[in-house]
Amino acid sequence: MKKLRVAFYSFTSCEGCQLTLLECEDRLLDVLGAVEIVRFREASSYEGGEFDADADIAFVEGSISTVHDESAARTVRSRSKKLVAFGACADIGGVNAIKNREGVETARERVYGPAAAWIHSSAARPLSAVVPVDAALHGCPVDKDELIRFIFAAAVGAKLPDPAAPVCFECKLRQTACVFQKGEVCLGPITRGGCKAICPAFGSGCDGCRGLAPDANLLLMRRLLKERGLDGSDLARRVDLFNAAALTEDQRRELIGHA
Amino acid sequence: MFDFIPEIANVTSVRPVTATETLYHIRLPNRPLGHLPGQFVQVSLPGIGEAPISIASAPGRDGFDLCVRHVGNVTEALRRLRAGDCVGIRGPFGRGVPLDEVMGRNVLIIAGGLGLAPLRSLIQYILYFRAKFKKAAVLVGARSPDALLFSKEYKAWRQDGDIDVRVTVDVAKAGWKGDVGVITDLIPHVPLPPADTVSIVCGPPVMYHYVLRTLSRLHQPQDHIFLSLERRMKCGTGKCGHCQINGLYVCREGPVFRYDRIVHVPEAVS
Amino acid sequence: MVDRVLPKEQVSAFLDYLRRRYRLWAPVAQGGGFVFAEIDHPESIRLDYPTTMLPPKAAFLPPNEILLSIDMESLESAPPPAEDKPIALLGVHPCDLHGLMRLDMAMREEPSDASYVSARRGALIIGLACVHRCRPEAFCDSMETFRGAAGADLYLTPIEDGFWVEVRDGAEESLADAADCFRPPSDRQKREKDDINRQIDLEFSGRRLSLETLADDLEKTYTSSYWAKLADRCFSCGACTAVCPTCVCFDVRDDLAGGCKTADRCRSWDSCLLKDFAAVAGNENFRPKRHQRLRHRMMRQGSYLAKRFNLPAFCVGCGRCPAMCLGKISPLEAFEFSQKGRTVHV
Ligand SMILES: Cc1cc2nc3c(=O)[nH]c(=O)nc-3n(C[C@H](O)[C@H](O)[C@H](O)COP(=O)(O)OP(=O)(O)OC[C@H]3O[C@@H](n4cnc5c(N)ncnc54)[C@H](O)[C@@H]3O)c2cc1C
Ligand code: SF4
Ligand code: SF4
Ligand code: SF4
Ligand code: SF4
Ligand code: SF4
Ligand code: FES
Repeated sequence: MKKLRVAFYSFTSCEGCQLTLLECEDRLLDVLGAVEIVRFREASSYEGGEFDADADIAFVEGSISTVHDESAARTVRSRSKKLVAFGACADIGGVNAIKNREGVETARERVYGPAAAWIHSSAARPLSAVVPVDAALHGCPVDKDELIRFIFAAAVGAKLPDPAAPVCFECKLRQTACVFQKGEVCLGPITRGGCKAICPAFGSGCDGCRGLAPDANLLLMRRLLKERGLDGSDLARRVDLFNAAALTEDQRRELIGHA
Repeated sequence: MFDFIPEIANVTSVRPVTATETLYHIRLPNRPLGHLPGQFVQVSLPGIGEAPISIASAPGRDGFDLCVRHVGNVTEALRRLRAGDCVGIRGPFGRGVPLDEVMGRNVLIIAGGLGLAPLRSLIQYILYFRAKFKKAAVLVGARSPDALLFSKEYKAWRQDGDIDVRVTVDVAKAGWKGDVGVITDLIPHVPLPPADTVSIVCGPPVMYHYVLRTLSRLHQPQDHIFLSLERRMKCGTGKCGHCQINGLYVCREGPVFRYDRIVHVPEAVS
Repeated sequence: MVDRVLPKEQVSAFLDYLRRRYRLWAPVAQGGGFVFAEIDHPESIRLDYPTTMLPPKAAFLPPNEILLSIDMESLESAPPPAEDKPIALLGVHPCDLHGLMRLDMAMREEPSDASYVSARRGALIIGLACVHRCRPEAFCDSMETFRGAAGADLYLTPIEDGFWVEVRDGAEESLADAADCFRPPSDRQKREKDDINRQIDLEFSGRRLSLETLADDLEKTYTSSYWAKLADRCFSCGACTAVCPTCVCFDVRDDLAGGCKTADRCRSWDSCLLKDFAAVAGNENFRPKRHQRLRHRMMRQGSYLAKRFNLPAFCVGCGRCPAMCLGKISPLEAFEFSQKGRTVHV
C-alpha cells in the first residue's frame, strides 16, 4: 500500500498538540514507518509556502480567528482529502474563544493596547465553522495514545471511532475517588471522554476540554452545580474556559441559565 | 467454548451489485460453512474490525455469498478487497429460518432494501428444493431502480423456480416500467391463502410495522410470520449485550424470530 | 464443607503459600478508597476494607484486554499466552461472591468465553464475611446476598483468634500444601462464630423487596412515566455499569497502537447507558433516549438476566452504583417503585 501523506498545520493556538506528537518519542519511528509527513512546522526547517502540500490527511491545530486563518483553512481543505480538527482549539474553539464572550473589541484592546487598531482579529471559531471537517481529535492537548491510534488506523484505511462515554466512565475504570463528590466542580459527567480522566486522576475537576459528550444532561449538571452554590457568571466562567464557542444558544441556556 | 479467532477465508470473486453494495463469494479452506438460510457470519479485517453479515446464498459445498453495503469502517474496507484476497470469518451464528416450519407450505418473502440479501439464501434454497414448497412469491422493495439488489436474477427465479417475483420502488426513473410505491401495496395482490402461507420479512426497521399491520389485516396467523431483525453486534454469542432486545439476544435467539414469540417484546418491532 | 480456623499467627504463612501458588489479588488502600489489586507486598493487604471502587470482576474480565493479535499480512491470529499461575482472590465480600457467580453464569453459558474461562481456570476464591454494612447505599440485605459462603472455595469470618474458615467440598485438595496453617476449631471458637452469624443476621435484617416477584413486577413498569422522571437524574455516563460486579457488556475493537504490522483485537468494558450502545448504520438507534437506556439497565439487573439464569435478580445490591452515581440513582429505588404498596419490611 502507498504510504499515507500526512500534513500538520497550525492556526491560532499554542502548538501544544503538535508537540504532543513529538513527545511520542518511542513510537515516532513506527509512525514514520506508516505514514509520510509532508508538512510539520514544529519539527522541520521547511521555508516554502506554508499551506501548499497535497495531503491525504491534514491535521489542523488552532482555532480560526483571523482572516488569514480563514483563507488558509480553505486552502488546506482544498488540498487535503481528509481534514482533522486537531485538538480543542480546532475542534471546539477552545481557550481562544473565551474572548468571544466579552466581545472581540474589548479583548483586542486588552491584549494589544494602543496597537489594537492595526491588528486584525475576529471571534475565535472552531475549524468546522469555516470548512467541512471529517474527524476530530479532542482535548487540550490531544491524547497521545488516541493520536497514535488515529494515525495507524488511518494508515490502514479505518477511522477511529469517537469515544461516546463521558469522562466519568474512564474515571471509574481508573478507580479515582470522585472529586465532584469531594466538593470540587467537575464537568466530567457532561464531557466527552477519551482522555483517561486525567484531570480527576491528578485531583482536579474536569474543565471540559474535549467538548460536550453525546446526549449530555445539561439541566442536571446545572442543578447539581447550583446545589454547590455555583450559578450564573461563576458557572459561565467555568464552562467558557474551553466551550465558549462550542455550545449552541439552547445548550447555553440549559447549562448556564442564560445565553 | 468460543474464542474470537477467525478462520482465514479466500475471497474467490467480487462483484459490484449497486453503487453502494458488493457481492463477495467466499470459501473456507477446510470445510463448508454449514449454515441455514437466515444465519450470519462475523467478517473481519485485521486492524479494522468485525461486522456481522448475513449469508446471501443457499447452503452448499462451494463457498458462500455475502452482499455488503458499504457504510462504515469494516464495510468500507471490504470495498478494497479483490478476488484472491483473504478475510476472517467466524460463524455461522444465530438461528436461521426454521425450514421444517416453511416446507410444505406457500412462502411469501417480503424484502425491503438490503433485506433481500439474507432472504436470497432462502430463495436459492427454494429453487434447489422447489418440490418441497408450495407456491412461492417474493416481494422486493427498494428506494429506486438503481438500488435494486440481484435484479438480474429475478428472471431465473420466475422461470426456473416458478416464483411470483414482484418489485416496487419508492421513486421511479426514466425507463422504469414496474410498480411505484411502498412494499405493503404489493401484499394484497399476492394470491396466497394466509392460513397456509408462511411470510418471511426482512428490511429496514420502519418497514416491519407497516408490513405486520398489512399481514394482520389479511388475517395471517402470527405464528406463520418470521422476521429477521438487525441490531448492533460485537460477539455473536450472547455475551456482549449489544444486540439485546429487552431480554432476547438477537445473535443467539435470532436474527430470525417467529412473530408470535416477539409480539409482546416491546423493543422488537415498533 | 469442612470448618477450620486460621490463627492470626498463621496468616502470613498462608499468604506466602497463596503467593507461591497463585497470582494473589486482594484489597489495598488507594486514593482514599480501596481497590482489588495484584499483591506484591502482603503488608499492603487490607482485609478490614469496607468495599472497593471496582468489583473483583476485573481479575477475570479486565476493563481492557487483548483477545487476539493478528498478523496484518497473513491474517493468522493467536490469543496472548496464558498466565503461568492461576489467580487467588482474597477477601471477597458476600455480594461480590454472588457477583462472581453471576459473572460465571453469563460468561460460561455455552458457548463459553475462552478468554474468561482461561483467566478463571484454577482460580481460588476466598470469601470474607461482612459483619457490618459497608456503606449506607448497600442493599445486600434486600437482595439476600449478604451471606456468601456459596461461590467461595474458602469463606473467612473474622474471629478473635484469627479467621473461621469454611472450606468448600473439593477445595481442600488445592490447600493440601497449606494444611499446616489451619487448625480444627474449638468449641469456644464455634460459639463465637455462631454469635457473629446471629449479629450478621441482625445487621442485615432490613429486607425491603419481594424478590420472588421482582422480575415480573419490574417489567410491568415498562411503560410507566417513572423512567423518564428517573432519567432526569441520569447523565448517561456509564459510571454505574463500570462499577457493577454483574455488568458484562463489552465492546470489541481493533487496535494498532503498536504499529501496522500486527493488530490487536481488544475487548473493553462497554455500557448500555451510553448513547451509541444500540446504534447501527443508517442513523438508526434502538435506544436513542436516555430513559430507554436507564430502563434497559435496570431491567437487565432486575429482570432480563434474572429470568435467563433463573435467579431472583441479577443485581446483588453491592451499593456501588448508587454510591457513585451523581444523580443518586439506585436500583433499589427502581425495584421498590415496581412493588409500591406491596413492599415487605422484615
Ligand atoms: C444479523 C445481521 C446481519 C447483517 N447482514 C448484513 C448484510 O448482509 N449486509 C450488510 O451490508 N450489512 C449487514 N448487516 C449490517 C452490518 O453488520 C453493519 O452495517 C456493519 O456492522 C457496519 O460495520 P462497519 O464497521 O462497516 O461500520 P461502523 O464503522 O461500525 O459504522 C456503522 C454505522 O454505524 C454508525 N456508528 C458506528 N459507530 C457509531 C457510534 N459510536 N455512534 C453512532 N453511530 C455509530 C456509523 O455512522 C455507521 O453508519 C447485518 C447486521 C446484522 C446484525
Ligand atoms: S471526578 Fe469527575 S469525571 Fe470522575 S467520576 Fe467524579 S464527576 Fe465524573
Ligand atoms: S478530564 Fe476534562 S479537562 Fe481534563 S483532559 Fe479530560 S476532558 Fe480535558
Ligand atoms: S445512572 Fe448515574 S451512574 Fe449511571 S449513567 Fe446515569 S448518571 Fe451515570
Ligand atoms: S446494579 Fe448497582 S447495586 Fe446492583 S450489583 Fe450492580 S453496582 Fe451493585
Ligand atoms: S454490599 Fe453487603 S455484602 Fe457487599 S460489601 Fe457491602 S455489606 Fe458486604
Ligand atoms: S452480539 Fe454480543 S450478545 Fe449478541
